[in-house]
Amino acid sequence: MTAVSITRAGIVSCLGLGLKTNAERLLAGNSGIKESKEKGREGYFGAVSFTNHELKTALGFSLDSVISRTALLGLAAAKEAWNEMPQDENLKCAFINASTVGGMDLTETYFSNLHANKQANPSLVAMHDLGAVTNFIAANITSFDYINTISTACSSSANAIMIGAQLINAGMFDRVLVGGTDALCNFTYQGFKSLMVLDNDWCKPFDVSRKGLNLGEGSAYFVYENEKSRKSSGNDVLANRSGWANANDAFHNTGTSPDGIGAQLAISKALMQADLSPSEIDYINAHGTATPNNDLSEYNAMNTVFQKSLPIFSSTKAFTGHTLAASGAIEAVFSLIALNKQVAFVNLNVEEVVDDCKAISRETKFKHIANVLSNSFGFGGNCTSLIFSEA
Amino acid sequence: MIAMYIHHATSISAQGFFNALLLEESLKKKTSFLANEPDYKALIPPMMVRRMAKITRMALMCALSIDKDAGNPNWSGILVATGLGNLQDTDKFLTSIIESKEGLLSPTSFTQSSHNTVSGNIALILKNHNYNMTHVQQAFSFENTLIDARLQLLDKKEQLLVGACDEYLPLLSDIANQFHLNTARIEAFGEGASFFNVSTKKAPVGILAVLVKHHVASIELEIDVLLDQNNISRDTCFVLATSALSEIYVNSNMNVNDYCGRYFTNSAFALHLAVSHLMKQKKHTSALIVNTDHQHNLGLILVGLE
Repeated sequence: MTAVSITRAGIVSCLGLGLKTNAERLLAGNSGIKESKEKGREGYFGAVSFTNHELKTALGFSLDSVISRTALLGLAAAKEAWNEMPQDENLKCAFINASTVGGMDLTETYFSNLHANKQANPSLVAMHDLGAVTNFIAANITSFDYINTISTACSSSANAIMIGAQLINAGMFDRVLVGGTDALCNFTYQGFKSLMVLDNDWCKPFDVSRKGLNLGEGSAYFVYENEKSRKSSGNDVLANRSGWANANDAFHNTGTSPDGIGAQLAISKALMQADLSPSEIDYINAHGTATPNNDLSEYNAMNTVFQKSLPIFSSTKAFTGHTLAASGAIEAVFSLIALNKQVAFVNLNVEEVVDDCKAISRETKFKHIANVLSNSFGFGGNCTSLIFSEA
Repeated sequence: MIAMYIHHATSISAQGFFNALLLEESLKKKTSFLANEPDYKALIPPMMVRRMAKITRMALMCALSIDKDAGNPNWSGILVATGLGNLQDTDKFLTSIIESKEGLLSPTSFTQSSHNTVSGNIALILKNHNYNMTHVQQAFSFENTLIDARLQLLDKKEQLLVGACDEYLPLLSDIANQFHLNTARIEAFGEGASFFNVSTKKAPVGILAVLVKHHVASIELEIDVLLDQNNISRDTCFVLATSALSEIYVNSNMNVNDYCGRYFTNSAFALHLAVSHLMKQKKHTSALIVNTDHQHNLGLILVGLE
């Protein structure tokens, strides 16, 4: 038995702040992606609507404090997940965070000031490294016994979620906060632009005419508790984590293999871990970034593993954009919502699908959902699949 | 009982390239700590080396040497620690954004700037489809990677390629100067990579315990508790101290900073030295790597003879 209980969750995405708003907009099929006409940043983005000033005010920091947007977004969601959690000194608590950009938003300012004026304020880079962002979030939540940060590109927070479950399972900790955060920044915008994988229009995951991804930002966290911790907190179980696996595509540094070898392995190993047959998965929240390569190899991988029992699936990237390190955690929280509301989300913007595949979710569909599979894939061939099961 | 045995270790540091568990080389205290890089072409094609950032080529050389020594096994996991990741590529891409204004940028430095470039590259070269992870937690990235290694061995994985790497960039010294960090400490900034063949199969030396604790009240007390738990007396334990940025707060037999310089993952180099020391002499039957930082966080790695 590998099930690990999830009791709390928090989320910030372009759909809004908090679990409730995110769930409402997902069910309504209401995307948070908007067109930006800002010079040098034209295109479609899943930007969180709150400014840094608004986030600082809401979180109780002075406006002149130097805090990365990645840390602010992270703290907002982590606070929702940990909100009013009763403290218990007898419990061992850990925090496993994930990020790829860390304080890059401030580092960019440091670099441009340095190039323009030959000098720049060093406090701008004090939060550059990913561990510093994690430390900041941790310090504003509680006194954790153990803190760690995972960075494996776009599967980062899925891996944090996996490792957190293993820490509980191994009996090392009683209560673990897991998830990830990434803010939009010029570094990743210019990076994905240089790779020519951005769609200049609203992205279309799994559509045959898809051109690329829209970047997004956000953060999501949830709390695992063992029995001892649940007795202390009195929290109900929202869902169970029953399967998890990481595998490597080992095909190309950034591209995915046509057959999706890494994805196939991650999905099959997660099923094995959960002791579930493919036919027991009721909904797949796909990685589905909407780049031509990713969606094809993921589709091929799902077909290989599930064959005739491919369940209803959708990518929610057309709601949120690709939130990079945060995407695994955001979609894990969406998976919890799918279990809680018994719903498969719509795959927005899809018209024609390869093979005329019938499993793609063309509308918000209420149905019995006991097990959800969530996929996250990243650079470096990093593939992670997570399975969430009803409590 | 030792759960994690170390079968081979490799390191690149200011000391040069070490490719053996038991080091015959005599260590020299250094005053500058840029890595003394080996000739890579024995294991990495020169064309590839030219395109690689220093962190990647150092790490790959160490990892591929481990793989060769082990007879190219199908590693059940590749686990890498880095405090700051691929700084050179990050710097390069940031600079190219500013300098090119609106022009088309080359994506190479962007894709190589990912923190998991090293672990991904190792998997790609070894065609390894198994578990692949990168831990990035400042001075405790390597200790966290060992904790993950223990989790994976508990999860029935057998043989792991575990390592750490960080590279130096002059920009780090510029920034540290702006923060008015002690000059001697800035001059001691270093870099390096260390990799290990870790498995549940028995070997002469293994890792008994790994501990990361935050905001500890007394480092000495934490050390005493850990040694007690493992029935080890302090006088048979060889203590190695490391610290990336702060003072060293513990009485030790060896200050590792003097040999490889200060970088976030230098406790991995300390582990290599600890293993070699235990195999070389009879006085000490265990070794403890004490890694500290300025915020009273503590990493302990306890190593013992089988």
